Amino acid sequence: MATNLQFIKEASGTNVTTLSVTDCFGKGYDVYQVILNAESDSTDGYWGLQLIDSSGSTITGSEYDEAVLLMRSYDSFIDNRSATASMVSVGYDDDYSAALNLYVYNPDDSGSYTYGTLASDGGTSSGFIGTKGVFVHHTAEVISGIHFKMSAGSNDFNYINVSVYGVK
Amino acid sequence: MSSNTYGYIADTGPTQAYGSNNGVFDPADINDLIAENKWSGVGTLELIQTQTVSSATADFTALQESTYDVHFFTFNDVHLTTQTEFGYRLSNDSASSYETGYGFANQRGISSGTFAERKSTGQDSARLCGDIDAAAHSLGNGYMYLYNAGDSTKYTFSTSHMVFVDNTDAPAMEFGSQVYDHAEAIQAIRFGEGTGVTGVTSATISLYGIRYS
Repeated sequence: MATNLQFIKEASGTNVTTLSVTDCFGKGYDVYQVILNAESDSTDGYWGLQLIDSSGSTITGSEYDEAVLLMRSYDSFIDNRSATASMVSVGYDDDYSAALNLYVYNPDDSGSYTYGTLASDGGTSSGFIGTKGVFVHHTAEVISGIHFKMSAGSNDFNYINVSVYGVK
Repeated sequence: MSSNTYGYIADTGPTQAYGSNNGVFDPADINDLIAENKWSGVGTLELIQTQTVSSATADFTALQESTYDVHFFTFNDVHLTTQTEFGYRLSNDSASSYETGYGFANQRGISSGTFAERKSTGQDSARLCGDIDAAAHSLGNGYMYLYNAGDSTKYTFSTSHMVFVDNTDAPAMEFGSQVYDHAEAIQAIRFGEGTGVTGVTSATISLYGIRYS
C-alpha cells in the first residue's frame, strides 16, 4: 500500500512564549507527523509540549508520562523521565536553534491514550544537544491540537514554525 | 502558467490555497499549483532520487533545498569495506567540496553487549552508526531527517535511527542527532564510511523532500 504525508496545517510565531497549533488533529488519521524549527532566546533551555483537548483547552495537569534521553555532544547524557509530568520535555535550546520530528498516535480516538515519539536537535553555548524520547498522555480522550512552550514561562521563542501532516 | 489561470477563463479566479482549491483544472494548472504549494490532495513526501552505489560514496547533489526545508533519507543494506562507522558530510559549494566539523550525540545499543554514548563536538563527519564491518551479513538500515539545508541563516541539523549487525555479529541499533553548526546554505550531501566519508562496498539510499515543511 502506498503511503504518504498529507499536509494539514502550519503555524508560526516570533518572540512568543507559547504557540498553540489548534485543530490540527481530528482529520481522520491514526498517526500524525509534526515538524518544527525554532530558536529560543538566550535565557532558557528546556522547551516542551502539551496537548489540547476537544474543547480547545490546553491540558496542563499531571497527565503525561515521558521518557526522553537528552544527548549532549559535550558531556554525559541525561535521562528525563516522569509518570506525572505536566509538560513533555521535548528538547533543550539556548539561543542555538532547534528542530523536531514528532509522531503523534491516536489523538482522534476517544477510547485510547495518545502516544508520541520524538527526536530533536538543539544546543547551548557549550555545544550541541539532541533528544530522543517517547510520551503518553494517560487519559483516554480526543486530542485536537498541540501546544509548545518554554519551560520557564517568561522566556521566548525567537521564532517557531510548526507543520502538521497526516500519515496516510 | 496556463492562459486560463487555474481553470478559470475570467480575468480573476478564486484564490487558491492548499485545502481550498476551486475550479476545473487541467494538468498545467495542477503542475503550477503544486509548484506554488497550493494543490490539495497530493502527498507531501516526494521522492527526489534513489541511488544504488557500489564501491563509491553516495553523493546527492540536487537536494532542491530551495523547495524543501526538511529532507528524509532511507538507508537500505549499507555494506562497508571494513569495520568503521557510517555517516555524512555536507557541501556548501554545490558539491565541489564537502565540509568537516560536525557535532553529534548518539546512543548505541548492542544486543549482546552494552548501551553506550557516542558523541563529539568536532568530528570530520556526522556519525549515523558504527561499527558495521565487511562481513556479508553486516549491513545497516535506517532513516534520517535533515533540517534547514537551504537556509543560510540556520544551522543544518539531522536526526537518525539505524539498525545493523555489528562487527561481532550482534544485532545493534544507534539513534541520535547531528549538527553542522554553521549558518550556511547546503546544496549537497555525501554518505560514506569512516570519518573521511569514503566509498562503501554497496548501499541503496533514497532522498525525499517534505513539501510545506
